[in-house]
Amino acid sequence: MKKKVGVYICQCGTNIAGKVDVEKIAKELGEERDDVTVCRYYKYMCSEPGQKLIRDDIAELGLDYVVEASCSPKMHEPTFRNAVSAAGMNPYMFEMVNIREHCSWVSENKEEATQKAKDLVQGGIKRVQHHTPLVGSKKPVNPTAMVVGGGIAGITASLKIANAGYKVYLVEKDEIIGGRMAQFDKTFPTLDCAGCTLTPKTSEVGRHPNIEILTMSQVKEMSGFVGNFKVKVFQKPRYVSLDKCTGCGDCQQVCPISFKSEFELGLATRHPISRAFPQAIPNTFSILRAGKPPCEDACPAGVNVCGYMNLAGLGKFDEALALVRERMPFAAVCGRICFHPCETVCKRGKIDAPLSICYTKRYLGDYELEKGEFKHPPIEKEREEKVAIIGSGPAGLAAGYYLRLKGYPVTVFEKLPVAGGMLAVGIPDYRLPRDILADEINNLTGMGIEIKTGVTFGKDVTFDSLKQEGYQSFFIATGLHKNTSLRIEGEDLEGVIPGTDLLRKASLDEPVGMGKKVVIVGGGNVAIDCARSAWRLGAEEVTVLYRRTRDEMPAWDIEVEEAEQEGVKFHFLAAPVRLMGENGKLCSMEVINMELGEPDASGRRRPVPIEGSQTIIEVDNVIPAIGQAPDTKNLEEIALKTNKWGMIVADEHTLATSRSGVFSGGDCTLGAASFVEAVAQGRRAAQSIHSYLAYGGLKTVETKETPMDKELTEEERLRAKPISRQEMPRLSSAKRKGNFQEVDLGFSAEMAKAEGQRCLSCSLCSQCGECERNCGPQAINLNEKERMRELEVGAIIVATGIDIFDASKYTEYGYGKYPDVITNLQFERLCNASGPTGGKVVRPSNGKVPQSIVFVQCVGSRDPAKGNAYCSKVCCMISAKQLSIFKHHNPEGQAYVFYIDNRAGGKGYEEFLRRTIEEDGAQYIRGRVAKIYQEAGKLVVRGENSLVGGIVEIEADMVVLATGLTSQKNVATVARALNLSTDKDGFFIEVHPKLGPVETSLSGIFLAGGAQGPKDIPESVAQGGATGAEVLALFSIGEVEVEPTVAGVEEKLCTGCKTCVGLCPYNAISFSEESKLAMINEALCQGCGTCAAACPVAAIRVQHYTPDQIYAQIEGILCG
Amino acid sequence: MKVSYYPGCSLEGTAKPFDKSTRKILGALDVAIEEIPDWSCCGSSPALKMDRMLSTSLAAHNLALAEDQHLENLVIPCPFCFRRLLSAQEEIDTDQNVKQRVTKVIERELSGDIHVHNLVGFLRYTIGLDTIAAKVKKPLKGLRIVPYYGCYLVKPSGITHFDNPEQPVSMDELLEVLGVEVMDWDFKTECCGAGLSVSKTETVCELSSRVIREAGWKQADAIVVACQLCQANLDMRQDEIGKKDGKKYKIPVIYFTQLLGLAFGMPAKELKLSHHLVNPMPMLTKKGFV
Repeated sequence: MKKKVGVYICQCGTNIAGKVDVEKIAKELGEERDDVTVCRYYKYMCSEPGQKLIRDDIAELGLDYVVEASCSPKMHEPTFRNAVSAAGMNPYMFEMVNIREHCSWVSENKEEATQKAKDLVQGGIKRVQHHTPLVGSKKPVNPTAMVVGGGIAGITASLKIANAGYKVYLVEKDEIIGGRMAQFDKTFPTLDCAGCTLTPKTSEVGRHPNIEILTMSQVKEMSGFVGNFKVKVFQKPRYVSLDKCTGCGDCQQVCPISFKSEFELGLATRHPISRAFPQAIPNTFSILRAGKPPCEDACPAGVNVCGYMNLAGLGKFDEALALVRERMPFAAVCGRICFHPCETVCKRGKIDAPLSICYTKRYLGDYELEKGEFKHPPIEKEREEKVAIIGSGPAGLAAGYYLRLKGYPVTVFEKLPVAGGMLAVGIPDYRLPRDILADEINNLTGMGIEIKTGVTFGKDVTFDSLKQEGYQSFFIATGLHKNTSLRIEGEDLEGVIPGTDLLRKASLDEPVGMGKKVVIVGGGNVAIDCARSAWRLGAEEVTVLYRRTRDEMPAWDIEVEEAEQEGVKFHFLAAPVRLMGENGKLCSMEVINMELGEPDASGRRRPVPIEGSQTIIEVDNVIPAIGQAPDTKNLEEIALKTNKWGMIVADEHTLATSRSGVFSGGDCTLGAASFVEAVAQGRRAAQSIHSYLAYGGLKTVETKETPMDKELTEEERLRAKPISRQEMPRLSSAKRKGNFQEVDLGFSAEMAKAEGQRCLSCSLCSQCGECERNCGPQAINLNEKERMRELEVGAIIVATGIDIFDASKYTEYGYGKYPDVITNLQFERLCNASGPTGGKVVRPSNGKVPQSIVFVQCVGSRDPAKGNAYCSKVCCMISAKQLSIFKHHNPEGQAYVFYIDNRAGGKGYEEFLRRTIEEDGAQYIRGRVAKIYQEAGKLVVRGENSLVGGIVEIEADMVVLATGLTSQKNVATVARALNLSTDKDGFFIEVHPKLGPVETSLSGIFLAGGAQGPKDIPESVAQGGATGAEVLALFSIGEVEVEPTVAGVEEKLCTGCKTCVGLCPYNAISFSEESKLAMINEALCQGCGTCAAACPVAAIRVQHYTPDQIYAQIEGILCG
Repeated sequence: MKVSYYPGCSLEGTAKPFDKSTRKILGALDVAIEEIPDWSCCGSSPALKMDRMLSTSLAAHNLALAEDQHLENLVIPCPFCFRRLLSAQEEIDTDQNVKQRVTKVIERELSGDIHVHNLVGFLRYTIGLDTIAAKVKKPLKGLRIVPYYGCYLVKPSGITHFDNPEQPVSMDELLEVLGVEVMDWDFKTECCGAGLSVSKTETVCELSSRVIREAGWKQADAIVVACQLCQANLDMRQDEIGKKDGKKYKIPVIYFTQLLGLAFGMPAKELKLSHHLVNPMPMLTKKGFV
């Protein structure tokens, strides 16, 4: 049977009929087309009589399909779908044709518009005949809301929803809620105190059982759909317990750090631990930390550098040392030999020179050794399980220290006659004196750690023998003690001394047999150590032979410079070819010159020998120092898995080896690494061994704090105290010959303190622990970690508010240069009783009461050249209010306002503004300000009086810039997280400017307040209430209809190429490993069609947008 | 480095010290200069006010001569000549109509690829602070000055592309390298009255007086300039301004090139330092720079 199509064309008043001859089309279509049963037109199809026309026809004529030609489907598709379904038709048997936005509004020519409209309608007629009835599904709504932003709009929305009995998560990026309104003094036009109106609301939110406030939190990711969202929220720790903090403020007294307060807009300073004002909600202190500072981040052991430097700056050396020990047991050793990557990244280095971190730490270690009392945290509790540590190098000793603190009985087995590993026999005395090392090792034995020297594991004791003795866990840290061979002829000659042998013998005072002319081969720190040791042992001519150039040399610059000072010569781009001797004794060597070729795998340019450049030189000793290898001969017994270089294979995080209960770390797993890396591994091994022994398993890896931005900010630069880097006093090179006396002489207490005070505290809180130690109720926990929370909510309200235009973009206004040129928000703080001046309006430059204030309007508003093109809406009234407050404070004072237009649209606004002119005597000057400058020490504002037509210059005690409102700085993060779109100015876009001001294009996500555009308080509150109503409506229905217009996979066609999986913006597509097909989650699918378009085999179809429907529409448009 | 050089008429007349000191310091910085052969008026006033096409054509004529030198850079100390030649170059480049007409007048087509520099920008960015610092033999430590750029050198920023049209710093940086203490003030780009000196002397006196007065209040040892008209106006009007204020102003107004020369160790005479109305020599002698 032939299907019946009804066509209805709307005139939309004159909106459509003004350009399209609707009557003509309706007549033609009705007469010409066989497939059209009825064709009608009407003035307003969306009105009740219009809808009734359709309903009646469906009932009376038995229509199968309906085509409606009118406005955009965005506007009225739901209206007409409801109309047809009221008459019993499936709403998807309906097609809407847009002849307004797509035709009449954008056409000039009537005839052409009429033809186009007719073509479009014919497309709809053709298409609708391919429609099939579709039924959507219903999903329950999770009656929990999330409100993003804790300003007045967000607070209002939260309270509306919470009071109706539903749970609300209030997500706020700052430490307190209240938003911008918390900063204001009074509100226009009634001059109500902002605090008195806001704080009852914030405290209600704080107390509300249905509201959970998440401060210092930001939304990061959203998935799901209306009624069923999943939102990931990144929450930074407050470090102060909401339950325990009493708000006494003792913590602030002891905090060594202060910086400009953002809440006070730079008019006052704050400590990292602080509370914005006494009535703030949450009503406890909190700690602001920017993230992990670069120094701590760069330290392989993760030592809290910033913390101990700040404590050193206070002269609190014991506390500083305790902080070092949390991650580094050997301050005196580390302070001598660390390669201090912390200093390389120290932000102070971008100003003058980095903090002298390493030497300050050395001072802390020496300070304690000098006092002769070793302090360590209390040993937790004595435990039974014995732990064996093989190797007494830095990794082994560090593991011993941290295991002992946990209470384990620890024995360290050492093959050599002395403890310390490479610290004892690899690093020469002049860099690390024996007694310092011995003292720090003695500290450990004093804690009850047993060190057995001269015991070789695998020979004197074995894995089995130790197990029998009751050792339950092992840490293998045997280091790298074998010298890498040069692989050239003559290496076995007498006089060839491997580098590690030389250093060991020198350390153990064994005879070395040093001649006069010595050549060291290699370019690393060991090579330099050998050179400087050889010189001290009496060699007269010491040369370092290196196959690359100085630039590629891995040795530290300071070491190379010191060596040069001592007379060591460097021969770059040269390598040994063979060693020659007489009677088995070395007497000369052949050297070939090199040149740098192409870069190799390490990125360094590969040295290539220059043929024919060989020379013979006479030598007494050759010392190869080109690298070390592990000596694993004695470890064969326990058969641990090793890699191709012979290093033991251990898990990167837990250091577990292939054998249960056996852990390994340090150089024997890492290859040649640094002292500090070895200590880090020792500590990690101790944690893993503890987990293994105490819990029988390995703990999960700890979350790491996010590193902060490494770029220096202007604010940090200003924090730098004018103290220059302390120079390490050194032994003169003349006094070094023939002995191994320490070259670096050490810092004094004053120098260490000065270095500590140079810290910029770029991480804000340095976690020095001063507040934690001084908190009576023990409310502070600096170990709190940032976390990602995943919250399930049914609706989201975005009320992220506004930012203030950066006035320094107008360089000619001198903002930031002259303290008396301030923004209007700063002026609010000056008036506010809990502000930096206790509510006195005074000049920031000298604290005196200003007699004349000039207000400059539209700074950043209505100025596309420099600021924003839009009007910020509130600034005219703000200035009127502020000058009125100023007149109340100082009735003798004079206020001037440079304005473009006075925009006072609002209840009681214009009347208020008039009063400021008539009663407060403010002088309003119509015109822009050209320049604010200082003449003879006084501020002068030069502007135009456009009504008189001339230039005006006014001397001012204070200038208030009426800075415009802008979108939030981090708006892009929120927009990306929630899939929302913003306009060119960064404000969120509402679904319809008139009819959907608080809705977004995503169902279930709403907008309130300044996030959508500049607004004053009443408007923000109204929107907050409106979003509350939207959310409550959703919750009270309790279920949402999921549209049937979703994508589906034709299983027979899908090849499993996964193209679609990555493209889906809603994460609705997954790949089934079982069936090897793409799977679409209909609940998540939004029907955008991206997958359908991308599918190379057309296996994906979106319902209601099938190819036959679209082709039919095209055909209809093109050929009627 | 070899550059094309356009002195312009002022530097041949009243502003000889500017020309002389410029040539001296460029020489010291190993910049060889080749004056545009047979250069003519740049097209600044009065041509600019009376006949725009004449003005642009005059500038284009000089640009054509400069292009024939086949050098990459053209350096112009005079801000007026600089802006005129640069504007003409831009105009011809962006407006096909102008280009056609000018091509007809000067009977040739410009390639438009010569870089037109003002002297301050050339020294600051092309030569660079490091190179200049390396030439300093006698640092001018203890000399407190206020830098005065005037308006013509920096504005409009769309044409000159000067560092910051409101608070320019490139000359400050050049002077700081010499050890000079450069004071911050808000009069860097105020107008001195420029070419109204003869026709509207009153206005010039009024505008210049503010600059002089502020420099006096700041107790500057000198005002350092990069423009011969600024130099003339500020140098010439001090007696008149002083009479009005009941004070005696004797603030030397020195070209920045002269200070560069001094710091490079050149004798004051070669830099024509005594050719100004307010003689800077007593101040410089007292400070031990000459």
